Amino acid sequence: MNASVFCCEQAEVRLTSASGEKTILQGIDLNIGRGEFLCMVGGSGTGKTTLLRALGGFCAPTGGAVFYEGAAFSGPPAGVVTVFQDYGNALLPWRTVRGNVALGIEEQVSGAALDDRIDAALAMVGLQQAAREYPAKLSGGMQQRLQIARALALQPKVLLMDEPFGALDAMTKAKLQDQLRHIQASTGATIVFITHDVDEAVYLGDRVILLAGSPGRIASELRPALPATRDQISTKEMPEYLHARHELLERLHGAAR
Amino acid sequence: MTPRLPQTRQWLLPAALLVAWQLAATAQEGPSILPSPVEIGQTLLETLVSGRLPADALHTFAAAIASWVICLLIGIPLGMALGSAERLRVALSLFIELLRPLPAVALIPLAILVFGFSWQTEITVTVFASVWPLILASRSGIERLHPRILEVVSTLHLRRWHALRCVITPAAFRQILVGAKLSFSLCLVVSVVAEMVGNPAGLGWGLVSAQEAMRASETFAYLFAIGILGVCANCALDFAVKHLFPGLAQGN
Repeated sequence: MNASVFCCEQAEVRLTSASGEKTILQGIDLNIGRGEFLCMVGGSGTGKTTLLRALGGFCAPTGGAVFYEGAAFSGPPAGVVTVFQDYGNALLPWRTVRGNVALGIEEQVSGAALDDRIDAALAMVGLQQAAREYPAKLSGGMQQRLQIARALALQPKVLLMDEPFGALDAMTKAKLQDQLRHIQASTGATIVFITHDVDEAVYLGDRVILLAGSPGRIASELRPALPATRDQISTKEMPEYLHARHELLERLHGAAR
Repeated sequence: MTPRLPQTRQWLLPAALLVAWQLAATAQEGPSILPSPVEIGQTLLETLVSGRLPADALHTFAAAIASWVICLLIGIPLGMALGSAERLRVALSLFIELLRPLPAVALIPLAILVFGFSWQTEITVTVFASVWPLILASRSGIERLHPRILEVVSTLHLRRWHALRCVITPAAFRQILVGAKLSFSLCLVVSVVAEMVGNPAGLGWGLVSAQEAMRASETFAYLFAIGILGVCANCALDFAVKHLFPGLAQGN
């Protein structure tokens, strides 16, 4: 019985850009377990986004293999939903909050069942009050919550998130981090989460992987020894947290040198 | 100071011109080809009351609307298909570039040969002249879509038709609307031209008959009527868009 959701074997991704073909990722060996919260950190240009896009079915590996539930795939696999960093481009401005959440499920369910699914997704991110608003009327944090709710409405097995909180202020970010941990605990979803923020990676992740180099590879990984339920204040004062943070920062700076 | 002021101010120039025209016409001695605005107004009223002008306007308006609907039905799907399918674009671009610069008026003799002096001639010529902006706008509407929106469609596993109806078309709507408005104005203009030479009916034919009968004030009356119809039709279109698609006015 294979417990891993995603499995990369010596995966390599080459992309063609204006300056010719470039190898972005090389020799990626990675297993992502069911229900795991995996954070990816690394400097710019180390291929974090490309790796996430390969998992999300937006770019196929040019070498090696990437499997989802044991099978190779082209295009986003069923049960895997990507949440993008630029929520402004990802939301539909002509649909209300409810309409946006309905987008992915309105073909499959209808009537009261549809309403229930939308309500449940909105409740998970705390957006019930804004259900009838248009996205343009919402703050950045609320718009990103809306995008997460739209993904959650599909009841995904895996959420792939590319720096979802990158553009948000510290307070909003902390609140959304807690909500996301909570959502993962209640839905059992696997989450792969890219961030630039070392604190965020250690606080959120069951495991943190560090990408480095060009072409990017997995330089090291780390499992913060933290309890499943985390708290913005007490968790961040725990010696284990500080140790993991110290370790990760050191490796990050070591990798950059 | 008051927000109404700019509204009134934009009527100043046309009003001043009319007054100057009237003064010049009254000051001139002897018979004149140029009628005064008062005479034109009287003729306008007469043709309105006699029912001739409203009937002609209705014909032109109906022909323009019919042509526009055909333009929408051809232009939007074709333009969107061109925007999304590289192979189709390659196959059709030369053909389109050959047809597009052909002046629509040059098509009138051919249309008359095929359809005679008839409404078919009028609609064919009008559609040929007015469909291009819609094709181009719909095509660029698709080409300018943010790539993220297509990734959203694919990550949410939307089915093709659902995506086209609920995401792609609304996202390209603003661009398509620009083309639709341009096409609508063209339909009005070209149907008048087609009536002048290809279909003896409507405002265009009324204009030509008035000129051939040397009735100057009636010629001007028809000219004004055409202008007013154009303005009213465009306003009606704006109003309809605002009320039919309230959600699309949101954002951006």
